[in-house]
Amino acid sequence: MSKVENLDRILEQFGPHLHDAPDGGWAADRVIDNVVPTHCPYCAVQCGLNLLVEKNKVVGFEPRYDFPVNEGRLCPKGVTAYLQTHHPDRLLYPLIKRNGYFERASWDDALDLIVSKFQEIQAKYGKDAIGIYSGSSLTTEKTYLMGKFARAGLGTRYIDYNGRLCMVSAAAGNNKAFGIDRAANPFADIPLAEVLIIAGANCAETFPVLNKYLWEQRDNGGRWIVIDPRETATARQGDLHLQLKPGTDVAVANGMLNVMVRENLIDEDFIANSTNDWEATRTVIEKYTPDVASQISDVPAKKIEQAGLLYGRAKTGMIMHARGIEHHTNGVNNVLSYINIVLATGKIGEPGKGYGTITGQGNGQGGREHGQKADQLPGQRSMLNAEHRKYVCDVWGLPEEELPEAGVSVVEMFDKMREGEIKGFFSLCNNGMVSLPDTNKIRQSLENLEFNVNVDFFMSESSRYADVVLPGTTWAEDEGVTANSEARVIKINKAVDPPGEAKTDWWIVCEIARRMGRGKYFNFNSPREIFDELRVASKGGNADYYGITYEKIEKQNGVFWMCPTLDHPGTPRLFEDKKFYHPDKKAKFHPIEYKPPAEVPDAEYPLALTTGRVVYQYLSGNQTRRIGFLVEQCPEPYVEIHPETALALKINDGERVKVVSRRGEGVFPALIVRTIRPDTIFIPYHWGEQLAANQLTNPALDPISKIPEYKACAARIEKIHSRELPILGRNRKGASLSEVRRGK
Amino acid sequence: MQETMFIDPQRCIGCRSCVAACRECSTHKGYSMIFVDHIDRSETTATMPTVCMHCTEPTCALVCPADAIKMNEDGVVMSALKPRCLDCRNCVNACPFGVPKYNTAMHLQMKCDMCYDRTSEGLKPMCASVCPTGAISFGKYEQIVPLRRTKPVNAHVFGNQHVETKVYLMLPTDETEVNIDGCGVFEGRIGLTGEQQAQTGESWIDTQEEQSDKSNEF
Amino acid sequence: MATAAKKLTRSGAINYMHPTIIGVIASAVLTLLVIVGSRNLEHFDSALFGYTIASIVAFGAIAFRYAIWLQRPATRTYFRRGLQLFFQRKKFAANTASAATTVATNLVAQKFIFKRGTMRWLMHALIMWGCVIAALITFPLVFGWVHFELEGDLGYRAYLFGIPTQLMQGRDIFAWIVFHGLDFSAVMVIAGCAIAIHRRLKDRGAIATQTFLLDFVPHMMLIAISVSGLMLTASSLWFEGYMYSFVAMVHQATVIMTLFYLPFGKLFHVVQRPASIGVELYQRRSREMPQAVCPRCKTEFVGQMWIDDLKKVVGELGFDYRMANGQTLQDYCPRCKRIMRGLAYAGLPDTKEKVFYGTREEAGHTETTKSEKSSQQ
Repeated sequence: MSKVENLDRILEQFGPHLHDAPDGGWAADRVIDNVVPTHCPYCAVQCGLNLLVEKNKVVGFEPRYDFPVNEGRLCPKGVTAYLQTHHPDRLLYPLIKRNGYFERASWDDALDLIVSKFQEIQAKYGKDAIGIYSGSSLTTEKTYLMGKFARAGLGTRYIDYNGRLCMVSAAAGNNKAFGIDRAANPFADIPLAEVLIIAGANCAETFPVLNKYLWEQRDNGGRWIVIDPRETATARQGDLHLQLKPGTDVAVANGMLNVMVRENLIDEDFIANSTNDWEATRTVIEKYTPDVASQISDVPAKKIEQAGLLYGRAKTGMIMHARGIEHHTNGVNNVLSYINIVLATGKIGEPGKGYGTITGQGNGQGGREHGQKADQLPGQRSMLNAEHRKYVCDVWGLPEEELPEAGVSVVEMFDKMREGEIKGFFSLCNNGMVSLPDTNKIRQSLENLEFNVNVDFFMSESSRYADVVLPGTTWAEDEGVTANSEARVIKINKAVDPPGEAKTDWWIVCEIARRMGRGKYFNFNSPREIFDELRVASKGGNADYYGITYEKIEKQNGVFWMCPTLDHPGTPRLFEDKKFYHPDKKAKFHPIEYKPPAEVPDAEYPLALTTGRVVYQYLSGNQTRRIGFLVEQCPEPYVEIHPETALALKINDGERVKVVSRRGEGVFPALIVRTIRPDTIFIPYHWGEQLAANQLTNPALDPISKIPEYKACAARIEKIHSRELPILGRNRKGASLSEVRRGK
Repeated sequence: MQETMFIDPQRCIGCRSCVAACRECSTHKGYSMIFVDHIDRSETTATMPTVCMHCTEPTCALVCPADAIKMNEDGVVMSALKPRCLDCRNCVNACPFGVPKYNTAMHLQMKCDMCYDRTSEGLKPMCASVCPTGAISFGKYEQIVPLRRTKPVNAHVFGNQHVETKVYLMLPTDETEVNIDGCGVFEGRIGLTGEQQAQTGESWIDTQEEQSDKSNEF
Repeated sequence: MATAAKKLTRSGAINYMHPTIIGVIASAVLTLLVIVGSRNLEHFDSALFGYTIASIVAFGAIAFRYAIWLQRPATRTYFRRGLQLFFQRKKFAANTASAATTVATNLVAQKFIFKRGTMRWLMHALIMWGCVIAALITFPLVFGWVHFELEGDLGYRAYLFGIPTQLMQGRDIFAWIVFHGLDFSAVMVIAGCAIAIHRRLKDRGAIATQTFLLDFVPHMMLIAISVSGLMLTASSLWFEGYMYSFVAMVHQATVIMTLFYLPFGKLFHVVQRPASIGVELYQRRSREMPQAVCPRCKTEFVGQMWIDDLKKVVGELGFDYRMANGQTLQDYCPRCKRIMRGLAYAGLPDTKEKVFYGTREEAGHTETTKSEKSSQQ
């Protein structure tokens, strides 16, 4: 029964408030006690940065020029990341909700309450009545611990993580095609590629520092083909922009491959020696001539032709993709159709030839390797594989019969919460009320719970629904490893002690397990001890961490897994021997037919709504919506509308309009731009409650990866004759042209 | 100082990392002295990063009634000397690049001084350190230019006036100077009907970089 | 540390003739005042002769430097326009009020320094008020405008321009304060300079931009004056005049050096800062006048008079920012100037690389020629 009853009070107590200066204000005369090399907490480039510490407070940063991935570069989120450590909104002590108000509690009271409630629920409804929802912004140690906590600590089958909203389509596609889930090439290969295909990735805003490599490639004379329904900064800078209809990626990819097959730009030797199922795929591909592809995707056939020739004729080339093609009910198919291009041209496993998915969260790669996924065990082992189950149980010392079966994806888990199958909930490192599709349903799920525990360092939109909120730590207050988008395992270092009574996440989880009588499986006193167990647990799996140590990471500036032995240097590039990870060592083609998204525009909802990110905010915004600088740049979501569409609907620039889908509606200021397709609208999703783009999105899932379809649903725009200006427009003293036009 | 800055606007992704990082500089702690402006958000995502170009004959210094703006031996045009600056804002409105900022409450002008606290010690300025794409780079001419396909140009023409700067602009063409004559219009707008023009005037999002005022108050 | 600044050209040839005349006149006037004020040197203390001469020379030098400063086109424009605005008959009351406000908030309370930093304000207030007190006490003595005469055992009477004032008892607290005024001011100056030097040694921004000659020497000179002054008091009070004449000579040397330094270095801001009365008046009045509208974004951004004066100054300096469309660059607001540069960059012909574009087609930009483009402006 965890409703939000006193929102005003919660907002007053816990924010989001804006904070925009280091502790004690800006000063140029600080005496820095310590410079701690670590990494940015946000996206999966995991840029290196140095934190400046004065009197146990993080007071600034200094670029880390010597870290090879970013060489000091940072995006605005990275630059301001240090401001969150001493933010006034930080949760400093455990909170228990009593009579609708969060009240300060001691750790003992809070933990005892959690334990007694969990035990009560499990006794009454069975072990599986508790769901765990974890995240990929945690260090790998913690993600490993969360998987173990669910299975060995609580004995529930229901655990999943927010990578389900992020990486799973790519992971499933990779596993199906290559038998392994990892970006195949290091970033350093990008500048060596003649042609890059960037599909559904606005790396300029979501992965800014990758642009360093993209522009190095450009400086080497390289070309980019960008596939995106919007002319993003990335698409603008590209040489060829295929502005497709949302959700028609398969047609475009098949169309390009069709051109390459027709022009005989494929690598027959590679196909014959290293792959399976080409003939069936070829038959499908032959149907997708540029004209057919053009009809489906609305990309001019000429451009598909050009793109196919450009990539096909190039000696080297790489394909990179991100959520734009993955957030679909056809997400896995979209991924596989691009992998088909890679395999057919044999552009893999060599410098400048390769394939990679652009990970979303900081530890999007590491977080999907060690068993916090519903069906996964450490080292990318599977819960469905008896051998894998036995190995992990042996490492844990857990009787095999105690290891639960595989669970379900997070969206399905929330369905089960609504249906009453899951009664207790433990969430850490996520904010479903912003990031899950159809937030109105998500709210019902949370309100339907008997007992809800949340760990976070800021009160998120989801934390407000919890019965107990425990104060966790930011990245600057704990150590551990993460794996960035190129599968480079790097080390986050501790800069300062947690503020107030805040505790590290791993301590909280271990302590709950201990109090539930499962302490023997959670006898950890430091992240290093967890990592050492993880190394053993992952040994022999695909994601083999056994040879990685903290010291080695420091020495080599990161270690690429797999790294099976202590003297192994790591594996920056996969498939160098053209051997893949299926039992017959061959890669697999998949014949993919185009299927439309689950919901297509119709007379009632004539526009395609797609969602995404802005450079100033990170994911659910729980961290970034509190930092003054970032909020100033982008204080609220908006809806991008093409001028033709706006003209037809008589909408002015900056006017607030109502966007309606079958699931909900929201009011957003219109940003009228020619950089989007006339039949498409776009809303960034970082905000919660009434501002959430996910009030509108479709929770339809990909049948394989169970990823929701964030990137395509049907919507319409209604004029509401609002005179309220956008927040940014309001700040200016002089009137903008749009205000003048409106006769103000 | 042999190093200088190289600005390549076509690489700019408009992330304003430089704007955030600029505040970390010791000479103007907490205040950003760099601009990233949308050139026309209705039409394009293109943005223009503007740092001080450090003119060889700085208009700002010459129009200063208090003689407060000095150029040092490295050719870096410094912020106004604090005891002298009268906050008259002549520099703010005279600068051909729209660079200097002022604050009335402090009676002070400040501007980009190429992070002199860092560059005088051999470190890169903050903006050039963090810029993800290399739209703002700092280094020696012979280190940066051979790596690029763009052409470094430090001559700017504003109407009849030639302005030469310490900082280079990287041009994607063979021009030898940048000519700013008239207020310009984005290519994409050419050929639009009047109705379409009116539909996409200057976007409200274009204004976000100047929260306070039209005239560069920090 | 930064070293000497580059000399900028374009300021035009400096005319030294007028400033020299003004300097000489200023010295002559001060000399006259000394003679008159001390009743034909009747009350003049010959021991202070060195100081007097130095003051007269320094005063002339400051006037000379001020006159040269006024030759800067911008300064001259502000100066003339300031006077012109001030003496507009209908606005005289308002202008006086404006000037009074500026004096109170800027010159006396120094609110703007407070905004720059609290410690900075304290530092500046200590140094400034220390110097002001010291100057108010010493200069009248040096010029013979004030002298004291003994009355009875312990009584003193001060004479201002030879006119007797209140009799003071040597032992009462008021007299004690007056006689030790210089000691208090010395302590204030030392404290202020200590804060300043401390900041200059710790603040990384200051460290990068300061120079020894411009930023440390003035503080050191002020400290030298204050310390030697205090030593004089100590010598006469507790050490029965031990080394008194030597310390007095040192004191005199440091004071004279500082007086001669006044027109050139950092301390010139003391005479420069009152110009903010004119600048503020100018700003206040131009806010009431018609505003310049940026021709590109159609926003009012600053007074039209201001922009017109500025354009004139820019022209006098030998710049020509006039453009083909009849506007001058300074007509545009700063943001539009930045955007115009971006647009000019975007409009460069794509010979090597696409500039700000992918390959969007619907706008038909590929067919556009340069001439069509300019017709749109």
